[in-house]
Amino acid sequence: MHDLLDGELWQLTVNGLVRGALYAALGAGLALVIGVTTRFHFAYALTYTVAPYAAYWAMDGLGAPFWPSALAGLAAAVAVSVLLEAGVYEPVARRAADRAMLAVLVTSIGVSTAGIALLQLKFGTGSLPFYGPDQVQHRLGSARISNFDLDQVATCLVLVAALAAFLAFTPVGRSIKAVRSNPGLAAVLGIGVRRVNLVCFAIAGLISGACALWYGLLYTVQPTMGDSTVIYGFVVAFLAGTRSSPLRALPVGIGLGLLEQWASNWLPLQWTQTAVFIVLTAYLAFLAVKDRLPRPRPARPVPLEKV
Amino acid sequence: MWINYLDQALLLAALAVSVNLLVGYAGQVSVAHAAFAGVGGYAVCFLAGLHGWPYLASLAVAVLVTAVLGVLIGLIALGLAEEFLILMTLAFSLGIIGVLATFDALGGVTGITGVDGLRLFGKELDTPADWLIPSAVVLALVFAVCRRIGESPYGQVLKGIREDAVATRALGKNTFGYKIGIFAITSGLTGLVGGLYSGWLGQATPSAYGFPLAMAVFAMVIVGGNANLAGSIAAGIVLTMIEPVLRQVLAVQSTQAALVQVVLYGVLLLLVMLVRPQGLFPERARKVAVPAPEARAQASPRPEPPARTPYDEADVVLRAEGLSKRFGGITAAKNIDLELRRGTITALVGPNGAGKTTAFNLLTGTVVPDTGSVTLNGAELVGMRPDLVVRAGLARTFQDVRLLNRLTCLENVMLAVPGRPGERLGPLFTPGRGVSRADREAAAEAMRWLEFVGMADEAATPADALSYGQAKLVSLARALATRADVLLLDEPASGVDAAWVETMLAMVAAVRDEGRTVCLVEHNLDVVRQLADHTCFMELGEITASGTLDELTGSARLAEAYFGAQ
Repeated sequence: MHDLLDGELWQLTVNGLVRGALYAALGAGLALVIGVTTRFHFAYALTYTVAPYAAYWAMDGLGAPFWPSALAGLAAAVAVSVLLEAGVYEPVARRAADRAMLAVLVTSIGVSTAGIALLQLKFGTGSLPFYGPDQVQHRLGSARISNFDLDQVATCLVLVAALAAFLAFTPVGRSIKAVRSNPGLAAVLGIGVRRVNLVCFAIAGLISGACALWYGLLYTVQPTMGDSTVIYGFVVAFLAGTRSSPLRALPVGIGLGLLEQWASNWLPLQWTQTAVFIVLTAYLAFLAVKDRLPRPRPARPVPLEKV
Repeated sequence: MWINYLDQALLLAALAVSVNLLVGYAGQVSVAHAAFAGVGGYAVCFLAGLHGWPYLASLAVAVLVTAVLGVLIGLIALGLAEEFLILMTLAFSLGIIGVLATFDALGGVTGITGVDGLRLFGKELDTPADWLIPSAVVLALVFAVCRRIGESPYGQVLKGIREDAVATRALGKNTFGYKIGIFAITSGLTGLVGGLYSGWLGQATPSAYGFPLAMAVFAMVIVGGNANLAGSIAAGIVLTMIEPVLRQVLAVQSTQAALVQVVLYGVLLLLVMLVRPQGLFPERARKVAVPAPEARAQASPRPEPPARTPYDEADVVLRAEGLSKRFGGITAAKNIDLELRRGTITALVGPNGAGKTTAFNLLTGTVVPDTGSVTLNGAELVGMRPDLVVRAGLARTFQDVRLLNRLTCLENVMLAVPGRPGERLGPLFTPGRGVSRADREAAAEAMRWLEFVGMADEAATPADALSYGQAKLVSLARALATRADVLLLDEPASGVDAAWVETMLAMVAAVRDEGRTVCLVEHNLDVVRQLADHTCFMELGEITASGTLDELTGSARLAEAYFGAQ
């Protein structure tokens, strides 16, 4: 066991923690959107992908340094996210009335796929050379970890903690929680539900953009980079609960990250994604079985005396 | 080249038709059907392409495998909230394609390529022209199956589930079973289409069955119109032809044309959702012919009303003993004992929050009690599914009516008529006129109940065009059409203006005179006074008194509990 921890498993654990923090932050952002606005925001993949592309465009096209370009990438992700809510989801949901969830989901898949196709038309279908500050490797026991890994983990933890604090301690955060609890009643109380929804999308855009920028620096920037990542976000959001504190996304995301990495010790690399699907299936099967388990027939009680 | 695109258009249209049956008719949101097509495609390429199986046999395996996968996913996700089905199918789409790409035997990430020499009925399928007839036949087959299901009593149940699954279950339909069934059928059909699609492509690759295909099919369904299968075919063919038009007419490069096509799909989808969410070709309401008066008279003639038996001498039809239910720390029902006697009306009265509707939910199996028993004609109901409770003879109406809005009044009531053979797949695909004959009889019976409540003139009116009072009468007709012995009516006169109250009173009294047993929840004590043979008073989840209404209102304590301190 000691040898294992000193060796590959320890490296996988470190990788799992790094990847898990990313999933946690993405899940927290998505849970906020789903829990408050009830939009099945598949185009989270688009806002995720837009950030590094916009940053790349600022660097490559405008010659801007990395950090201002990264800020431009974040701004682009936030802007796309807010525009999606204001210009697409809200009008579509209003028109679809009682079938809003289906309408928004389908539109979201359409807009996301079309948006990514637009990126491919502009930037090509391959990977982009996305470089930032120098990468420095550190040793953590027998494992290696880069400054990007550490910065990404710190960013994700700060984002999740800041979101939790924002919801708990600010007036806007309390309005968000009120809308999440009962949008109709919140509107009656004078809370601007549309404004709250836009704030949620702005936060989700910010989180997805920040995560994608670090992911791009660590791995690669390509048009389909959001497809699988956003599924992890959805899984974390639902496992942690879309109406719970964002802090619950942390153990769930990190758990999934560890599971994915540890699975790669025993399974071929491509199968690691499947581990997440299995976790989700097991969770949903548990929910389904829990609701349908036959209950023992209650015993006949002694009749009460009537008044 | 154009024939090649026509092959593709026919196959994608077939995919759109099968997805429309699931999404448009049943209202179930799945994004996994592109992946199911992928499973079918891989099955065919693996068996027929790599192992020399006959093409037809490999198609059969594709259908079987995808249908079984559909059942498994449905069993897990279809009983949960809608968002879990979406999540499950999203994850499945990614997971299954990822899994297929891991097997070296399936070609890994590049998939199975170079599949050729497939033969069907002795004819080699080599050129695009060879694929035209199989593609057209599959489209025709898928269309025929989907139309037969969608425009049948089975399809009516699917539409009921789409409109309001709880209300449909309260009419005695096993909604979960229907959802599983339609998910499996459409999965199998997409597996079949995927098998043809990969055969035509000559390959099965992970990228061919990803989200862009799912989005393209959704675009065809949405643009063509929900629950309009012909619309899906038209949209499928037109949208598929965008790419060759871009390439041939506008001289756009091949790769660019495919991407521009995806962008146009997205834009079109958004525009249709914003401007015309029902699609370019809206759902066509099934024309259920209103039966002629003589046909109605022949259908299940109503028995002569039996002579009324005094309340104390009437048989007990339904007996509830010790029903209790807690939700967390809240006691919603506490040791409810209740007897309903044949041919009588029992009223449950009490202040808001007393647990009256919860009592209905417990009796009908919508909520499972923590303790207690409910027997109907001596048979235990606790533990039975709500739809089986209805079939056993206990039906209900809802306080908020819950008619199926986009169905006509006649269709709403027909849906409640039990035992229609067209609600089962076997009779639906058996030659003969049994299904249509039974359908006409059900229409006649439904019309009789609409006449009974005075709503025959509105038979062809969509339910969402009715006034509130009219809707309540149709919901009463719907409950009567279940042929249940015992009817639980939740606030039949609430929210209804005075003229409709009188009508409703007459209707409920007539129902009792038919020999049926009625239990009603009602706040309007004048209604209770006129109708009820027996009254139970509920407070804090408990029946604390019973007797005639005058006896109850004579109690100062009960009056205070109901109306508050004077």
